[in-house]
Amino acid sequence: MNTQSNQKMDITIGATVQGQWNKNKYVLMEKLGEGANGQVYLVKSKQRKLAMKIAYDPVDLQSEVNTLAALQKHQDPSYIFDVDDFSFQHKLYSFYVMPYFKGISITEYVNQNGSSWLYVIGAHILKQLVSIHNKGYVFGDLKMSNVIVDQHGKCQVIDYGGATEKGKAVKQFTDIYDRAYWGEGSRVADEHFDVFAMSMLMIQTMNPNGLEKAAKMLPQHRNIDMLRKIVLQAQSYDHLKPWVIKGITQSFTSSLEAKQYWHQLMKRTSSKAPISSLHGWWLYPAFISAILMFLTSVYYLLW
Amino acid sequence: MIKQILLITDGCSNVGIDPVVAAAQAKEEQIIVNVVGVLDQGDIGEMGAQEIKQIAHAGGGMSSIVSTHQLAQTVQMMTRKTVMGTIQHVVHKELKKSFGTEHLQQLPIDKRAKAVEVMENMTESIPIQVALLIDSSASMKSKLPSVKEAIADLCISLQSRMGEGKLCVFHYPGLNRVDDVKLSLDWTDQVQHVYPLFNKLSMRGTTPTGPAILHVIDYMISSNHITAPALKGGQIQIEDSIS
Ligand SMILES: Nc1ncnc2c1ncn2[C@@H]1O[C@H](COP(=O)(O)OP(=O)(O)OP(=O)(O)O)[C@@H](O)[C@H]1O
Ligand SMILES: [Mg+2]
Repeated sequence: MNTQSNQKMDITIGATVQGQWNKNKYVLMEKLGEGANGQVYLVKSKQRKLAMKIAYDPVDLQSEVNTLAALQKHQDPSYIFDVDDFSFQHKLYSFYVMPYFKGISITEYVNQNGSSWLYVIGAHILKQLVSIHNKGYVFGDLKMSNVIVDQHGKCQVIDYGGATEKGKAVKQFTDIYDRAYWGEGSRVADEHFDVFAMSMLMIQTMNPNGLEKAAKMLPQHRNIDMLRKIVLQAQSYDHLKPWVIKGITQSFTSSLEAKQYWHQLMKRTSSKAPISSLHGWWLYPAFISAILMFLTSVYYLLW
Repeated sequence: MIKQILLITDGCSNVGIDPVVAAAQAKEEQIIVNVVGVLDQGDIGEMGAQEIKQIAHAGGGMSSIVSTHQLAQTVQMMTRKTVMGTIQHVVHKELKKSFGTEHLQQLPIDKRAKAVEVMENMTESIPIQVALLIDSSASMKSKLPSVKEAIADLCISLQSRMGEGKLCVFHYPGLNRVDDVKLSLDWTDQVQHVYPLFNKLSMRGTTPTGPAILHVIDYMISSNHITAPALKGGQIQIEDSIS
Protein backbone atom coordinates (compact mmCIF):
# COMPACT_ATOMS: atom_id res chain seq x y z
CA MET A 1 0.00 0.00 0.00
CA ASN A 2 1.07 3.51 -0.65
CA THR A 3 -0.38 6.80 0.48
CA GLN A 4 -0.04 8.46 -2.89
CA SER A 5 -2.42 5.81 -4.27
CA ASN A 6 -2.97 6.28 -7.96
CA GLN A 7 -4.17 9.84 -7.74
CA LYS A 8 -3.32 10.49 -11.34
CA MET A 9 -5.85 10.52 -14.06
CA ASP A 10 -4.80 11.02 -17.62
CA ILE A 11 -8.10 11.77 -19.20
CA THR A 12 -8.38 14.05 -22.20
CA ILE A 13 -11.05 16.67 -22.64
CA GLY A 14 -12.92 16.05 -25.87
CA ALA A 15 -12.54 12.28 -25.66
CA THR A 16 -15.52 9.97 -25.95
CA VAL A 17 -15.73 7.19 -23.39
CA GLN A 18 -18.04 4.20 -23.23
CA GLY A 19 -19.18 2.19 -20.22
CA GLN A 20 -18.13 -1.46 -20.32
CA TRP A 21 -21.41 -2.79 -18.90
CA ASN A 22 -24.22 -0.46 -19.93
CA LYS A 23 -22.55 0.74 -23.15
CA ASN A 24 -23.57 4.39 -22.77
CA LYS A 25 -21.31 6.88 -24.50
CA TYR A 26 -20.17 10.20 -23.06
CA VAL A 27 -18.16 13.08 -24.45
CA LEU A 28 -15.96 14.70 -21.81
CA MET A 29 -16.50 18.44 -22.18
CA GLU A 30 -14.85 20.13 -19.25
CA LYS A 31 -13.43 19.40 -15.81
CA LEU A 32 -15.81 20.74 -13.13
CA GLY A 33 -13.71 20.04 -10.09
CA GLU A 34 -11.81 17.52 -8.08
CA GLY A 35 -11.45 16.40 -4.52
CA ALA A 36 -10.04 13.71 -2.32
CA ASN A 37 -11.99 10.94 -4.04
CA GLY A 38 -11.84 11.77 -7.68
CA GLN A 39 -12.62 14.19 -10.46
CA VAL A 40 -15.90 15.46 -11.81
CA TYR A 41 -16.44 16.23 -15.49
CA LEU A 42 -19.15 17.91 -17.47
CA VAL A 43 -20.18 15.33 -20.06
CA LYS A 44 -22.57 15.19 -22.95
CA SER A 45 -24.71 12.21 -23.72
CA LYS A 46 -27.50 12.22 -26.29
CA GLN A 47 -27.47 16.02 -26.38
CA ARG A 48 -27.86 16.19 -22.63
CA LYS A 49 -25.38 17.85 -20.28
CA LEU A 50 -24.60 15.74 -17.24
CA ALA A 51 -21.90 15.47 -14.58
CA MET A 52 -19.66 12.41 -14.28
CA LYS A 53 -17.76 11.60 -11.10
CA ILE A 54 -14.73 9.45 -11.80
CA ALA A 55 -13.15 7.86 -8.75
CA TYR A 56 -9.56 7.20 -7.80
CA ASP A 57 -10.75 4.06 -6.04
CA PRO A 58 -13.67 1.91 -7.24
CA VAL A 59 -14.50 0.95 -3.64
CA ASP A 60 -15.05 4.59 -2.65
CA LEU A 61 -17.20 5.14 -5.71
CA GLN A 62 -19.32 2.08 -5.04
CA SER A 63 -19.75 3.15 -1.45
CA GLU A 64 -21.08 6.53 -2.54
CA VAL A 65 -23.33 4.89 -5.13
CA ASN A 66 -24.73 2.54 -2.47
CA THR A 67 -25.62 5.49 -0.29
CA LEU A 68 -27.23 7.35 -3.17
CA ALA A 69 -29.22 4.27 -4.09
CA ALA A 70 -30.45 3.91 -0.51
CA LEU A 71 -31.44 7.57 -0.39
CA GLN A 72 -33.05 7.40 -3.78
CA LYS A 73 -35.30 4.52 -2.84
CA HIS A 74 -37.74 6.96 -1.32
CA GLN A 75 -36.87 9.96 -3.42
CA ASP A 76 -38.69 11.70 -6.24
CA PRO A 77 -36.30 12.80 -8.99
CA SER A 78 -33.50 10.39 -9.74
CA TYR A 79 -29.95 11.44 -8.97
CA ILE A 80 -27.88 8.61 -10.45
CA PHE A 81 -28.32 8.09 -14.17
CA ASP A 82 -25.62 5.53 -14.75
CA VAL A 83 -22.94 3.57 -12.89
CA ASP A 84 -20.21 1.91 -14.92
CA ASP A 85 -16.51 1.69 -15.78
CA PHE A 86 -14.75 2.85 -18.91
CA SER A 87 -11.26 2.13 -20.06
CA PHE A 88 -9.08 4.92 -21.29
CA GLN A 89 -5.51 4.42 -22.46
CA HIS A 90 -5.47 0.92 -20.97
CA LYS A 91 -6.68 2.03 -17.56
CA LEU A 92 -10.06 1.21 -16.10
CA TYR A 93 -12.00 3.98 -14.35
CA SER A 94 -15.20 3.61 -12.32
CA PHE A 95 -17.75 6.37 -12.58
CA TYR A 96 -21.31 7.43 -11.95
CA VAL A 97 -23.37 10.01 -13.77
CA MET A 98 -25.56 12.61 -12.05
CA PRO A 99 -27.36 15.81 -13.03
CA TYR A 100 -25.14 18.77 -13.82
CA PHE A 101 -25.65 21.69 -11.47
CA LYS A 102 -24.58 24.99 -12.91
CA GLY A 103 -23.77 27.55 -10.28
CA ILE A 104 -21.35 29.21 -7.92
CA SER A 105 -20.37 28.98 -4.27
CA ILE A 106 -22.38 30.47 -1.39
CA THR A 107 -19.78 33.18 -0.77
CA GLU A 108 -19.70 34.22 -4.40
CA TYR A 109 -23.47 34.27 -4.60
CA VAL A 110 -23.92 36.35 -1.49
CA ASN A 111 -21.20 38.77 -2.57
CA GLN A 112 -22.85 39.25 -5.95
CA ASN A 113 -26.49 39.35 -4.90
CA GLY A 114 -26.60 40.62 -1.34
CA SER A 115 -26.40 39.17 2.13
CA SER A 116 -30.14 38.57 2.50
CA TRP A 117 -29.81 35.69 0.08
CA LEU A 118 -28.08 33.70 2.77
CA TYR A 119 -31.51 33.16 4.33
CA VAL A 120 -32.79 31.59 1.13
CA ILE A 121 -29.67 29.49 0.67
CA GLY A 122 -29.74 28.26 4.25
CA ALA A 123 -33.36 27.25 3.93
CA HIS A 124 -32.57 25.19 0.85
CA ILE A 125 -29.73 23.42 2.60
CA LEU A 126 -31.84 22.69 5.67
CA LYS A 127 -34.59 21.28 3.53
CA GLN A 128 -32.14 18.84 1.98
CA LEU A 129 -30.62 17.92 5.34
CA VAL A 130 -34.03 17.21 6.88
CA SER A 131 -34.90 15.01 3.93
CA ILE A 132 -31.66 13.02 4.27
CA HIS A 133 -32.17 12.70 8.04
CA ASN A 134 -35.69 11.42 7.54
CA LYS A 135 -34.23 8.57 5.54
CA GLY A 136 -31.95 7.56 8.38
CA TYR A 137 -28.76 9.09 7.02
CA VAL A 138 -26.48 12.00 7.85
CA PHE A 139 -24.79 14.00 5.08
CA GLY A 140 -21.42 14.22 6.87
CA ASP A 141 -19.18 16.31 4.64
CA LEU A 142 -21.16 19.53 4.39
CA LYS A 143 -18.79 22.33 3.37
CA MET A 144 -18.40 25.31 1.06
CA SER A 145 -17.21 23.32 -1.97
CA ASN A 146 -20.06 20.83 -1.61
CA VAL A 147 -22.85 23.34 -2.11
CA ILE A 148 -23.67 24.78 -5.54
CA VAL A 149 -25.95 27.82 -5.77
CA ASP A 150 -27.75 28.43 -9.07
CA GLN A 151 -28.75 31.81 -10.47
CA HIS A 152 -32.04 31.80 -8.56
CA GLY A 153 -30.40 31.23 -5.19
CA LYS A 154 -31.54 27.66 -5.18
CA CYS A 155 -28.86 25.36 -4.00
CA GLN A 156 -27.85 21.80 -4.30
CA VAL A 157 -25.80 19.79 -1.85
CA ILE A 158 -23.35 17.56 -3.72
CA ASP A 159 -20.81 14.86 -2.88
CA TYR A 160 -22.45 12.04 -0.93
CA GLY A 161 -19.07 10.43 -0.17
CA GLY A 162 -19.48 11.41 3.47
CA ALA A 163 -23.10 10.36 3.85
CA THR A 164 -23.41 7.82 6.65
CA GLU A 165 -26.17 5.82 8.27
CA LYS A 166 -27.16 7.29 11.61
CA GLY A 167 -25.24 5.73 14.48
CA LYS A 168 -22.14 4.80 12.47
CA ALA A 169 -18.87 6.72 12.27
CA VAL A 170 -19.05 9.61 9.78
CA LYS A 171 -17.20 8.43 6.68
CA GLN A 172 -15.77 11.73 5.51
CA PHE A 173 -15.59 15.14 7.09
CA THR A 174 -13.54 18.30 6.80
CA ASP A 175 -11.82 19.70 9.86
CA ILE A 176 -13.30 23.17 10.28
CA TYR A 177 -16.87 21.84 9.88
CA ASP A 178 -16.26 18.86 12.15
CA ARG A 179 -17.57 19.30 15.70
CA ALA A 180 -14.86 17.00 17.09
CA TYR A 181 -12.25 19.41 15.71
CA TRP A 182 -13.75 22.08 17.96
CA GLY A 183 -13.91 19.74 20.95
CA GLU A 184 -17.69 19.52 20.72
CA GLY A 185 -18.40 15.82 20.55
CA SER A 186 -17.92 12.61 18.65
CA ARG A 187 -17.93 11.65 14.99
CA VAL A 188 -20.93 9.39 15.40
CA ALA A 189 -23.41 10.26 12.66
CA ASP A 190 -26.36 12.13 14.15
CA GLU A 191 -28.46 15.10 13.06
CA HIS A 192 -26.46 17.52 15.20
CA PHE A 193 -23.33 16.69 13.24
CA ASP A 194 -24.86 18.14 10.07
CA VAL A 195 -26.50 21.09 11.83
CA PHE A 196 -23.14 21.92 13.39
CA ALA A 197 -21.44 21.78 9.98
CA MET A 198 -24.17 23.97 8.53
CA SER A 199 -23.59 26.49 11.34
CA MET A 200 -19.90 26.52 10.50
CA LEU A 201 -20.78 27.15 6.88
CA MET A 202 -22.83 30.14 7.99
CA ILE A 203 -19.99 31.42 10.20
CA GLN A 204 -17.65 31.09 7.25
CA THR A 205 -19.95 33.32 5.24
CA MET A 206 -20.66 35.78 8.06
CA ASN A 207 -17.12 36.24 9.35
CA PRO A 208 -14.58 34.39 7.19
CA ASN A 209 -11.50 36.10 8.61
CA GLY A 210 -12.47 35.45 12.21
CA LEU A 211 -13.00 31.78 11.48
CA GLU A 212 -9.79 31.37 9.56
CA LYS A 213 -7.78 32.73 12.46
CA ALA A 214 -9.53 30.55 15.03
CA ALA A 215 -9.12 27.39 12.98
CA LYS A 216 -5.34 27.77 13.12
CA MET A 217 -5.24 27.81 16.92
CA LEU A 218 -3.92 24.89 18.92
CA PRO A 219 -6.61 22.40 19.92
CA GLN A 220 -6.69 23.46 23.58
CA HIS A 221 -7.68 26.98 22.46
CA ARG A 222 -10.24 25.91 19.91
CA ASN A 223 -13.61 25.84 21.57
CA ILE A 224 -17.18 26.90 21.51
CA ASP A 225 -16.62 30.22 23.31
CA MET A 226 -14.24 31.25 20.61
CA LEU A 227 -16.80 30.35 17.93
CA ARG A 228 -19.49 32.26 19.77
CA LYS A 229 -17.29 35.35 19.80
CA ILE A 230 -16.69 35.07 16.07
CA VAL A 231 -20.43 34.89 15.46
CA LEU A 232 -21.13 37.95 17.59
CA GLN A 233 -18.34 39.91 15.90
CA ALA A 234 -19.84 39.43 12.43
CA GLN A 235 -20.74 42.77 10.84
CA SER A 236 -24.12 41.81 9.46
CA TYR A 237 -26.56 38.92 9.67
CA ASP A 238 -27.80 39.89 13.13
CA HIS A 239 -31.00 37.94 12.63
CA LEU A 240 -29.08 34.76 11.92
CA LYS A 241 -26.86 34.87 14.96
CA PRO A 242 -29.23 33.19 17.44
CA TRP A 243 -29.71 30.31 15.02
CA VAL A 244 -25.99 29.81 14.53
CA ILE A 245 -25.36 29.87 18.28
CA LYS A 246 -28.01 27.20 18.77
CA GLY A 247 -26.45 25.18 15.97
CA ILE A 248 -22.93 25.16 17.37
CA THR A 249 -24.10 24.47 20.91
CA GLN A 250 -26.21 21.64 19.48
CA SER A 251 -29.32 22.83 21.27
CA PHE A 252 -31.89 22.04 18.59
CA THR A 253 -33.68 18.79 19.26
CA SER A 254 -33.59 17.85 15.57
CA SER A 255 -32.78 19.27 12.16
CA LEU A 256 -36.50 19.73 11.65
CA GLU A 257 -36.61 22.06 14.62
CA ALA A 258 -33.53 23.84 13.26
CA LYS A 259 -35.36 24.30 9.96
CA GLN A 260 -38.49 25.62 11.62
CA TYR A 261 -36.52 28.12 13.67
CA TRP A 262 -34.70 29.23 10.51
CA HIS A 263 -38.04 29.90 8.85
CA GLN A 264 -39.17 31.99 11.80
CA LEU A 265 -36.06 34.16 11.48
CA MET A 266 -36.64 34.42 7.75
CA LYS A 267 -40.16 35.72 8.20
CA ARG A 268 -38.80 38.44 10.45
CA THR A 269 -36.22 39.58 7.91
CA SER A 270 -38.17 39.25 4.70
CA SER A 271 -40.44 42.07 5.88
CA LYS A 272 -37.52 44.38 5.24
CA ALA A 273 -36.15 42.89 2.02
CA PRO A 274 -32.64 43.65 0.75
CA ILE A 275 -33.41 47.30 0.05
CA SER A 276 -32.14 49.08 3.12
CA SER A 277 -28.98 50.92 2.16
CA LEU A 278 -29.56 51.78 -1.49
CA HIS A 279 -30.70 55.12 -2.81
CA GLY A 280 -32.62 55.46 -6.03
CA TRP A 281 -32.95 51.72 -6.34
CA TRP A 282 -36.18 52.10 -8.26
CA LEU A 283 -34.12 53.35 -11.18
CA TYR A 284 -32.69 49.91 -11.72
CA PRO A 285 -35.01 47.39 -13.29
CA ALA A 286 -32.46 44.66 -12.67
CA PHE A 287 -32.52 45.46 -9.02
CA ILE A 288 -36.28 45.37 -8.84
CA SER A 289 -36.37 42.02 -10.51
CA ALA A 290 -33.72 40.83 -8.09
CA ILE A 291 -35.92 41.81 -5.18
CA LEU A 292 -38.90 40.15 -6.76
CA MET A 293 -36.88 37.05 -7.25
CA PHE A 294 -35.76 37.15 -3.64
CA LEU A 295 -39.28 37.58 -2.34
CA THR A 296 -40.54 34.78 -4.57
CA SER A 297 -37.85 32.47 -3.22
CA VAL A 298 -38.66 33.39 0.34
CA TYR A 299 -42.34 32.90 -0.31
CA TYR A 300 -41.78 29.57 -2.00
CA LEU A 301 -39.69 28.29 0.86
CA LEU A 302 -41.96 29.43 3.63
CA TRP A 303 -45.30 28.18 2.40
CA MET B 1 -8.90 -7.79 14.95
CA ILE B 2 -6.62 -5.31 13.26
CA LYS B 3 -3.35 -4.53 14.96
CA GLN B 4 -1.33 -1.57 13.87
CA ILE B 5 1.87 0.09 15.05
CA LEU B 6 2.05 3.70 14.00
CA LEU B 7 5.52 5.12 14.27
CA ILE B 8 5.94 8.88 14.30
CA THR B 9 9.52 10.03 13.89
CA ASP B 10 11.61 12.79 12.36
CA GLY B 11 14.81 11.11 11.45
CA CYS B 12 17.11 8.19 11.47
CA SER B 13 17.50 5.54 14.11
CA ASN B 14 20.97 5.31 15.57
CA VAL B 15 20.98 2.67 18.28
CA GLY B 16 20.27 -1.04 18.43
CA ILE B 17 18.69 -3.48 16.03
CA ASP B 18 17.77 -2.31 12.52
CA PRO B 19 14.15 -1.01 12.63
CA VAL B 20 13.50 -2.59 9.24
CA VAL B 21 14.19 -6.00 10.73
CA ALA B 22 12.00 -5.17 13.72
CA ALA B 23 9.16 -4.15 11.38
CA ALA B 24 9.46 -7.41 9.46
CA GLN B 25 9.08 -9.18 12.78
CA ALA B 26 5.88 -7.22 13.45
CA LYS B 27 4.45 -8.29 10.12
CA GLU B 28 5.29 -11.86 11.02
CA GLU B 29 3.06 -11.38 14.08
CA GLN B 30 0.22 -9.95 11.95
CA ILE B 31 0.87 -6.43 13.14
CA ILE B 32 0.98 -3.78 10.41
CA VAL B 33 3.57 -1.05 10.75
CA ASN B 34 2.84 2.42 9.34
CA VAL B 35 5.32 5.26 9.56
CA VAL B 36 4.84 9.01 9.51
CA GLY B 37 7.87 11.21 9.10
CA VAL B 38 7.09 14.60 10.54
CA LEU B 39 8.91 17.88 10.04
CA ASP B 40 8.27 21.54 10.79
CA GLN B 41 10.97 23.28 8.85
CA GLY B 42 13.87 21.77 7.06
CA ASP B 43 14.34 18.34 5.76
CA ILE B 44 14.13 14.84 7.05
CA GLY B 45 17.28 13.94 5.14
CA GLU B 46 17.88 11.30 2.51
CA MET B 47 18.78 8.66 5.08
CA GLY B 48 15.73 9.32 7.21
CA ALA B 49 13.40 9.28 4.22
CA GLN B 50 14.85 5.99 2.99
CA GLU B 51 14.56 4.38 6.39
CA ILE B 52 10.95 5.48 6.86
CA LYS B 53 10.00 3.94 3.55
CA GLN B 54 11.81 0.71 4.27
CA ILE B 55 10.34 0.27 7.74
CA ALA B 56 6.81 0.64 6.35
CA HIS B 57 7.57 -1.68 3.47
CA ALA B 58 8.92 -4.38 5.77
CA GLY B 59 5.97 -3.90 8.13
CA GLY B 60 3.38 -4.31 5.37
CA GLY B 61 2.17 -0.76 5.86
CA MET B 62 2.54 2.66 4.31
CA SER B 63 4.65 5.71 4.93
CA SER B 64 4.36 9.40 4.40
CA ILE B 65 6.44 12.46 5.21
CA VAL B 66 4.30 15.40 6.23
CA SER B 67 4.47 18.73 8.03
CA THR B 68 3.06 19.09 11.54
CA HIS B 69 -0.24 20.59 10.44
CA GLN B 70 -1.00 17.57 8.21
CA LEU B 71 -0.21 15.09 10.94
CA ALA B 72 -3.69 14.51 12.37
CA GLN B 73 -5.16 13.98 8.93
CA THR B 74 -2.39 11.61 7.91
CA VAL B 75 -2.75 9.47 11.03
CA GLN B 76 -6.51 9.23 10.40
CA MET B 77 -6.05 8.37 6.77
CA MET B 78 -3.42 5.69 7.41
CA THR B 79 -5.56 4.00 10.02
CA ARG B 80 -8.58 4.05 7.76
CA LYS B 81 -6.60 2.65 4.84
CA THR B 82 -5.04 -0.04 6.98
CA VAL B 83 -8.48 -1.19 8.06
CA MET B 84 -9.90 -1.02 4.55
CA GLY B 85 -6.84 -2.77 3.14
CA THR B 86 -7.02 -5.65 5.58
CA ILE B 87 -10.71 -6.08 4.98
CA GLN B 88 -10.36 -5.87 1.23
CA HIS B 89 -7.78 -8.57 1.46
CA VAL B 90 -10.25 -10.88 3.18
CA VAL B 91 -13.09 -9.89 0.89
CA HIS B 92 -10.93 -10.40 -2.19
CA LYS B 93 -10.25 -13.96 -1.13
CA GLU B 94 -13.96 -14.55 -0.80
CA LEU B 95 -14.65 -12.93 -4.15
CA LYS B 96 -12.06 -15.11 -5.75
CA LYS B 97 -13.75 -18.19 -4.32
CA SER B 98 -17.21 -17.09 -5.42
CA PHE B 99 -16.51 -15.41 -8.75
CA GLY B 100 -13.04 -16.44 -9.79
CA THR B 101 -11.86 -12.85 -9.71
CA GLU B 102 -10.77 -10.52 -6.97
CA HIS B 103 -11.03 -7.33 -8.99
CA LEU B 104 -14.06 -5.33 -8.08
CA GLN B 105 -14.25 -3.90 -11.58
CA GLN B 106 -14.67 -7.36 -13.08
CA LEU B 107 -17.79 -7.90 -11.03
CA PRO B 108 -21.14 -6.85 -12.44
CA ILE B 109 -22.37 -3.63 -10.81
CA ASP B 110 -25.07 -5.28 -8.69
CA LYS B 111 -22.66 -7.80 -7.12
CA ARG B 112 -20.24 -4.98 -6.50
CA ALA B 113 -22.78 -3.10 -4.42
CA LYS B 114 -23.15 -6.05 -2.07
CA ALA B 115 -19.39 -6.64 -1.81
CA VAL B 116 -18.73 -3.04 -0.84
CA GLU B 117 -21.59 -3.06 1.64
CA VAL B 118 -20.07 -6.07 3.36
CA MET B 119 -16.67 -4.37 3.38
CA GLU B 120 -18.08 -1.26 4.95
CA ASN B 121 -19.96 -3.10 7.64
CA MET B 122 -16.79 -4.91 8.55
CA THR B 123 -14.85 -1.64 8.55
CA GLU B 124 -17.34 -0.21 10.99
CA SER B 125 -17.39 -3.14 13.36
CA ILE B 126 -14.02 -4.87 13.35
CA PRO B 127 -11.98 -4.36 16.55
CA ILE B 128 -8.91 -2.18 16.11
CA GLN B 129 -5.79 -1.80 18.23
CA VAL B 130 -3.35 0.98 17.45
CA ALA B 131 -0.05 1.28 19.28
CA LEU B 132 1.47 4.69 18.65
CA LEU B 133 5.20 4.78 18.93
CA ILE B 134 6.51 8.30 19.31
CA ASP B 135 10.10 9.27 18.73
CA SER B 136 10.83 11.75 21.50
CA SER B 137 14.45 12.43 20.77
CA ALA B 138 15.44 16.06 21.29
CA SER B 139 14.57 17.25 17.76
CA MET B 140 10.94 16.16 18.20
CA LYS B 141 10.22 18.55 21.05
CA SER B 142 8.54 21.28 19.00
CA LYS B 143 6.39 18.70 17.23
CA LEU B 144 4.91 17.00 20.26
CA PRO B 145 1.84 19.28 20.57
CA SER B 146 0.85 18.31 17.03
CA VAL B 147 1.53 14.66 17.80
CA LYS B 148 -0.76 14.86 20.79
CA GLU B 149 -3.46 16.53 18.73
CA ALA B 150 -3.23 13.78 16.14
CA ILE B 151 -3.54 11.08 18.80
CA ALA B 152 -6.56 12.78 20.38
CA ASP B 153 -8.15 13.06 16.97
CA LEU B 154 -7.56 9.40 16.20
CA CYS B 155 -9.00 8.49 19.58
CA ILE B 156 -12.24 10.35 18.82
CA SER B 157 -12.57 8.57 15.50
CA LEU B 158 -11.95 5.15 17.00
CA GLN B 159 -14.50 5.90 19.68
CA SER B 160 -17.09 6.92 17.09
CA ARG B 161 -17.12 3.53 15.40
CA MET B 162 -19.48 0.76 16.39
CA GLY B 163 -16.68 -1.74 16.83
CA GLU B 164 -14.16 -1.65 19.60
CA GLY B 165 -11.16 0.61 19.08
CA LYS B 166 -8.32 1.25 21.47
CA LEU B 167 -4.97 2.90 21.36
CA CYS B 168 -1.89 3.01 23.51
CA VAL B 169 1.13 5.29 23.32
CA PHE B 170 4.80 4.54 23.74
CA HIS B 171 7.65 6.97 23.55
CA TYR B 172 11.33 6.34 23.20
CA PRO B 173 14.06 6.68 24.28
CA GLY B 174 13.14 6.07 27.91
CA LEU B 175 14.96 7.52 30.88
CA ASN B 176 17.59 4.91 31.57
CA ARG B 177 19.68 3.32 28.96
CA VAL B 178 18.42 -0.23 29.39
CA ASP B 179 14.88 0.95 29.38
CA ASP B 180 14.74 1.83 25.71
CA VAL B 181 11.05 2.54 25.43
CA LYS B 182 8.37 3.74 27.80
CA LEU B 183 4.64 3.21 27.92
CA SER B 184 3.12 6.68 28.23
CA LEU B 185 -0.52 5.68 27.91
CA ASP B 186 -2.03 2.23 28.37
CA TRP B 187 -4.91 0.94 26.20
CA THR B 188 -7.73 3.44 26.19
CA ASP B 189 -10.66 4.69 24.14
CA GLN B 190 -11.13 7.86 26.18
CA VAL B 191 -9.86 11.06 24.63
CA GLN B 192 -9.44 12.80 27.98
CA HIS B 193 -6.65 10.32 28.77
CA VAL B 194 -4.73 11.65 25.80
CA TYR B 195 -4.58 15.29 26.84
CA PRO B 196 -2.07 14.98 29.73
CA LEU B 197 0.38 13.09 27.46
CA PHE B 198 3.98 14.29 27.20
CA ASN B 199 3.46 17.03 29.75
CA LYS B 200 6.57 16.18 31.68
CA LEU B 201 8.91 14.53 29.31
CA SER B 202 12.66 14.88 29.29
CA MET B 203 13.99 14.68 25.79
CA ARG B 204 17.13 12.78 24.92
CA GLY B 205 19.39 12.49 21.97
CA THR B 206 19.37 8.85 20.88
CA THR B 207 16.86 7.23 18.57
CA PRO B 208 16.63 3.48 19.21
CA THR B 209 13.77 2.87 16.79
CA GLY B 210 14.41 -0.83 16.23
CA PRO B 211 14.45 -1.90 19.88
CA ALA B 212 11.39 0.26 20.50
CA ILE B 213 9.41 -1.53 17.78
CA LEU B 214 10.34 -4.93 19.22
CA HIS B 215 9.19 -3.82 22.64
CA VAL B 216 5.81 -2.70 21.32
CA ILE B 217 5.33 -5.98 19.44
CA ASP B 218 5.81 -7.89 22.70
CA TYR B 219 3.40 -5.62 24.46
CA MET B 220 0.71 -6.02 21.82
CA ILE B 221 1.01 -9.77 21.81
CA SER B 222 0.90 -10.09 25.56
CA SER B 223 -1.96 -7.70 26.22
CA ASN B 224 -5.34 -9.25 25.68
CA HIS B 225 -7.46 -6.23 26.29
CA ILE B 226 -9.66 -6.70 23.31
CA THR B 227 -11.11 -10.13 22.97
CA ALA B 228 -12.92 -10.68 19.73
CA PRO B 229 -12.89 -13.26 16.98
CA ALA B 230 -9.83 -12.99 14.82
CA LEU B 231 -10.17 -11.92 11.23
CA LYS B 232 -9.85 -15.12 9.29
CA GLY B 233 -11.28 -15.68 5.88
CA GLY B 234 -13.10 -18.82 6.90
CA GLN B 235 -14.95 -17.23 9.77
CA ILE B 236 -16.62 -14.49 7.90
CA GLN B 237 -19.70 -15.49 6.04
CA ILE B 238 -19.66 -13.09 3.18
CA GLU B 239 -19.81 -15.67 0.47
CA ASP B 240 -23.53 -16.19 0.86
CA SER B 241 -24.32 -12.56 1.10
CA ILE B 242 -22.42 -11.66 -2.04
CA SER B 243 -23.46 -14.44 -4.36
N1 LIG C 1 -23.20 17.46 -10.24
C1 LIG C 1 -22.27 18.42 -10.31
N2 LIG C 1 -22.48 19.52 -11.06
C2 LIG C 1 -21.53 20.49 -11.11
N3 LIG C 1 -20.35 20.47 -10.48
C3 LIG C 1 -20.07 19.39 -9.72
C4 LIG C 1 -21.01 18.32 -9.58
N4 LIG C 1 -20.47 17.39 -8.76
C5 LIG C 1 -19.27 17.88 -8.39
N5 LIG C 1 -18.99 19.06 -8.96
C6 LIG C 1 -17.75 19.85 -8.78
O1 LIG C 1 -16.65 18.98 -8.56
C7 LIG C 1 -16.05 19.19 -7.28
C8 LIG C 1 -15.58 17.88 -6.69
O2 LIG C 1 -16.69 17.00 -6.51
P1 LIG C 1 -16.88 16.12 -5.22
O3 LIG C 1 -16.95 16.99 -4.01
O4 LIG C 1 -18.02 15.20 -5.45
O5 LIG C 1 -15.52 15.30 -5.21
P2 LIG C 1 -14.77 14.62 -4.00
O6 LIG C 1 -13.54 14.00 -4.54
O7 LIG C 1 -15.71 13.72 -3.27
O8 LIG C 1 -14.41 15.87 -3.11
P3 LIG C 1 -14.10 16.00 -1.57
O9 LIG C 1 -12.64 16.20 -1.47
O10 LIG C 1 -14.89 17.23 -1.25
O11 LIG C 1 -14.63 14.80 -0.86
C9 LIG C 1 -17.11 19.91 -6.48
O12 LIG C 1 -16.55 20.73 -5.49
C10 LIG C 1 -17.85 20.73 -7.55
O13 LIG C 1 -17.16 21.92 -7.81
MG1 LIG D 1 -16.16 13.55 -0.98
